[in-house]
Amino acid sequence: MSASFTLKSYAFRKEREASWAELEALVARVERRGIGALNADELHRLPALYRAAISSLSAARAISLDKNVVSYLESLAARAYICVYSTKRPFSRAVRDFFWIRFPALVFGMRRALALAWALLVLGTITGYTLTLRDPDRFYSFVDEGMAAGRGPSSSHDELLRVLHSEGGGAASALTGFATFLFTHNAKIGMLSFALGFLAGVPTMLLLFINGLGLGAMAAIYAQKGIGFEFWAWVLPHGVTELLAVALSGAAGFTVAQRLVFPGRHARLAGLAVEGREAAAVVIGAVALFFIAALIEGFFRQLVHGELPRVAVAVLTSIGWVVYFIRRGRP
Amino acid sequence: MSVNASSGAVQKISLRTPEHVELPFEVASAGARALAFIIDFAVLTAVMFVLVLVFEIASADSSEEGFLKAFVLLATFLGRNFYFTFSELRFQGQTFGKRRAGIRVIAKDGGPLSAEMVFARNLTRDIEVFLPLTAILMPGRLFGDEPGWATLVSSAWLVVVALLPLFNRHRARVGDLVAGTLVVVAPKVTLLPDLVREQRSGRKKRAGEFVFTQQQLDVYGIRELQVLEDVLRQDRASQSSELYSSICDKIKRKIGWNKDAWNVDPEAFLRAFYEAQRGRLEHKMLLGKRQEQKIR
Repeated sequence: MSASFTLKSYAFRKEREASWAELEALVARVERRGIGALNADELHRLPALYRAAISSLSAARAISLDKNVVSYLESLAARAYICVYSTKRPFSRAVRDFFWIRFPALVFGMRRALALAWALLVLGTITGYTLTLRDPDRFYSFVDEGMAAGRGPSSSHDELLRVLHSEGGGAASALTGFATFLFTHNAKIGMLSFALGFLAGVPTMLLLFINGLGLGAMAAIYAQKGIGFEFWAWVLPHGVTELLAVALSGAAGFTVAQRLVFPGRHARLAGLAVEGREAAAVVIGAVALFFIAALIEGFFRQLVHGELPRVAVAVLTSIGWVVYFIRRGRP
Repeated sequence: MSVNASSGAVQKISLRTPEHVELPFEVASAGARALAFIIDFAVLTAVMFVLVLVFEIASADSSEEGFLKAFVLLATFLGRNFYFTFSELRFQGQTFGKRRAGIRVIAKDGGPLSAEMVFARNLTRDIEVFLPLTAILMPGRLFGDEPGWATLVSSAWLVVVALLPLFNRHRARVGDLVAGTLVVVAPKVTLLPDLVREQRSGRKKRAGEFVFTQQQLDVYGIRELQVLEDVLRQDRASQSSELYSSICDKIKRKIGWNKDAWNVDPEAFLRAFYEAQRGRLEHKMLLGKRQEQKIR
């Protein structure tokens, strides 16, 4: 038999070549300048051409032995696949959806891990508190100098009280700097406690516990001087939000760890990939909480010194968060 | 980009797209990824440096020092933590460095690359890259006055984490495992002209045209056909005529070519043989018989 008729694979290629070239041109432009480089018409064409290329590829694999055509179609389909499947929603819509639906739902879903994280924080606080009450010198091993801001067991009643009512430099610009510092510092800790989750969660537990230790130790030296209430009024307005964010990051770390230690019915890595994504989304939400906490800490606390409004804010934020996560988060 | 790291052989991986078609991707080599990171890191450092410089100059005679300081702090924080996230989201899984290195991030399950995956894979970057770097370069800053053995153990652990991509098939770092992503090369292949010419049915055979019998065409299989395709597609200038004639002789002997018409133009013969052979094998494939290799 001789090939005296046109090969099927030849005719196949000839028929579709033009649409491949059109897709390739579009893909090349998206690769160079992003999906925004296409106008409405072309944007409409892209998925259609992509599916055409995918079906060409299936056909080519079945009928053509031209290696170049098959590998060309594989590469073209792969490049188009990336363009088609990485389109993004408008940023503002994505943000709204995230905070109104996704984030509270995810947090509600990991409420048990969140409870564990809170338990560790509270346990740390109680431990730090009782140990420091018994032996004030332990304060120094629980609280690092930066956080102590010159305070210690030897500080007098007035010195301690002054910190609670100081204006942190006074000028508004200094406050901004302070708030930013708080935010970046805390957000980093939060992300770290998530990232450490894949080490089976042990470092995350330690981080949470140590966070509580510091807080408890600080509370103890104030309680000794009889100004415990003022201290909590100073800490809690932003502390509620901030501790919640710390606990959320920790809980995210725990869910990652849980997948690694107790994989259940899924393969470890497959489960990790799913949970990891969700946990990361929670951490992003936690970073937003840290931002809010830093605003309260950097501005409100430095400007408002009365105990009553401070307590009011603390109570209001706690109620606010509980309502937000339960109302928006419950399926 | 052909940065091929230690392993040498290229790792292939195939993903099933939502249309249920397998697409092959090449796993990016450790070298290409390191290169991409170094470029990104250099860009980031340069930008930070300029920012700090501008801050120094601007704050020299200004009462607004606090605002500027806050701005720089925020900018460094956002840069260090969200540069990778932002650019991978914005530019279809590529940062500036990845683009230079010709690699990109895709979802391992073949689905769309979501924002959460990008966040997840970049949140762990700090402990994977920056901490080990600090541990190696400035152990004092990280561990303070911890006992020596603690420093040693921690550093060893951090180094293991940092080198994880070298020890798995997909060159995945911890972030990739957590997020379920892959870093791949999306190779560009150009469509070359078909080696088969159009033929009109019913056309008379030209004199001197090669005619092969079915027995002759059944000798070779798909692998040999595609090797021949590679030979014929290579740049003509770099192709020595000896190669053509030696292949030509080999084929003629193998298929038992007519001894009377032994002397032929090697290139013309090979092209004609390729065409006939491809026609025959594709025909058999349509009938459900894939002949992968030569029969003897």
